[in-house]
Amino acid sequence: MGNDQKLNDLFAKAKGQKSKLTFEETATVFKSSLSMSKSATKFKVFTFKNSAIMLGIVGVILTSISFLMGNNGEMDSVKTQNTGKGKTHKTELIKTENVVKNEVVLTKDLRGKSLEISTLSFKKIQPLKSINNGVLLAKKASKIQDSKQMNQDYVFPKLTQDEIEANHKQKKNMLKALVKIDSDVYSYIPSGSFEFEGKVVSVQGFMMQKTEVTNLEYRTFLFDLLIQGRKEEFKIAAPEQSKWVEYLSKEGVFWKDNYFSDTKYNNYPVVNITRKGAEMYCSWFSDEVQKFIMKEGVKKNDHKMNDVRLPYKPEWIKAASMEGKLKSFAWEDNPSPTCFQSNFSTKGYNRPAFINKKSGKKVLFGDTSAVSTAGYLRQEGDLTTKVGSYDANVRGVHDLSGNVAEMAYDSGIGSYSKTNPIALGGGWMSTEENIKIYSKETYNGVSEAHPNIGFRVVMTLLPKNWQIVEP
Amino acid sequence: MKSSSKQNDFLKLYEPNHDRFERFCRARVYGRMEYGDLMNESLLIAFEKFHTLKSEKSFLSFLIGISIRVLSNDNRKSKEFTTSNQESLNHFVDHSQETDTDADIHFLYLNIGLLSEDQKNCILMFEIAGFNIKENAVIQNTTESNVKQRLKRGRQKLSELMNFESSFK
Repeated sequence: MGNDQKLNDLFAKAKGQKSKLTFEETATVFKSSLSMSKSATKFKVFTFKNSAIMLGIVGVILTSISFLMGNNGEMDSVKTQNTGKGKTHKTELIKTENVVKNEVVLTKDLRGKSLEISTLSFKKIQPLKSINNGVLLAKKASKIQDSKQMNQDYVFPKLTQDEIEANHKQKKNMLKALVKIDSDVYSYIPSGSFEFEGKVVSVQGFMMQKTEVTNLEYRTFLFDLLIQGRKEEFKIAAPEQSKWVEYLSKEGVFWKDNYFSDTKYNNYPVVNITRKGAEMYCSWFSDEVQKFIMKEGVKKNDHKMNDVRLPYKPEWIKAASMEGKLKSFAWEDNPSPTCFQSNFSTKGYNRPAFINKKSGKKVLFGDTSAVSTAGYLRQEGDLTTKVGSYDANVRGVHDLSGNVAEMAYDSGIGSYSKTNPIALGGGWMSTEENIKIYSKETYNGVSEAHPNIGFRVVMTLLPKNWQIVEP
Repeated sequence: MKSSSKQNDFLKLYEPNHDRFERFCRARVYGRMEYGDLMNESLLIAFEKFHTLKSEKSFLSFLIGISIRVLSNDNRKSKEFTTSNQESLNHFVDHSQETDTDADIHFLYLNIGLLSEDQKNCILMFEIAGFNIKENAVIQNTTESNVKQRLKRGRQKLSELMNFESSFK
């Protein structure tokens, strides 16, 4: 084959490749950027066209500063320094008395007013990175966290009209997928018996979400609570983003501000939510589905569904082990190395090697640029991956092993009480050994938020005229 | 209300062009910057100048023209980063399941990035976004023979760069 022909083939492949950024994702980012740039423009008009008002405000600020100085002891001077590239301003106050008190009040005052005005007035239409929804929401999210920690008045995010509409749309998509039992989103795990912990256990057929619940889905739930005015529930269910720093220290600071809120991580599994939060998500989902069915009418292929919930251990094991056939990983029938199959911490993991045809040398996987697979090797397993990045098992379910450990109930064989919390399948922080189906790392009794724990939902599904019973 | 309907009209017009535009942007800045940023920036400018669009049929070329100007105006070159070191490479996660095809396309895009700006634009618009030579010439504000020449030389250089005997494929 000539080089020209090879090139043509390659271009044809490239042309036929699916887009990686969907229209919906692009439209969401575009809309939020637009609303931000609009508000930036408003401030621009305000400051430039009405410079008199600007001067007035500056005057008021200066007066209040001098008033404060007069009231709180003698102050020798106020220095304003510009440290760094015109962005960071530091106010240094030199006082003789009441030093601490004055400093706090004045710094707050200067930062809160004059700095805000100066940055806004020079704001242009900016590229996505600086004005996208994620940054906006990250600010909202960090505010939530801060107020949680400081036990002050809770600061709830304020949603714009566009955000509310987008949230409704996303909610509708989620409900539609559930009501129509969209095979792209849910997978049917048929009923059957299998050997589990030395006993034969029967499990009724159920639907299982193919991927873990994502940040976008969880955010839709949270914002819907907010829209419905269920603020107390919102406070309970909100992710505990401080856990990032607790577990990762410095490296966690970025994720604390961005992981849950930045739209770039929309399709990453939600983490750092408590068991209570996950259960609230399930019950919200169940209620909204009922409302949706009442409003939109019942679909053609009538099924009856039990409530959306977290899986019981036998159900989860059944889905992962193919009715007990697989003993270690959910992909045992596939010979590829683990690092191609799942996201986990590769600490102590024996990396597979390749022979470089040119040099004839042995190259360890992860040391060469010839890696463009979904399951590329993370040498330290440093974060979750987008849900569905790795091959699904035979039933079409992704990431049962690795990525995030999934919440379940372990109430014993034959008992279906929603007690005894566990998390199965290991996550990005777990070792190869701990992402096995029957791993001992089950987070037994852990109900608190954790960066390695997420969840996926299941629901028992019955044909129309069957009696609804718990599995 | 008005702006919301303008926004809807804009997105309606954009939706059928999304795939081609996304492919173009991804290939154009592959491994050098976030193509999502380029797309969003181009869309914002296009929305601002939406009233200047003469025909709905030329929407895609309108968008691509803007993205090319965005790239040249912002002098992004100086801020570019490369995928030569392992650390940055590890940040490029490919989420699809078609590993072989993706590896081929990965190398194709990397090598297209080594062509001159004009050749890059011509090849991507012709081969990836699906514009013909005449449209290509209009968008780039040049003659058809120039476009043909750039295509020919670009492909020739690309063939050499691709080195179809690479051991990594």
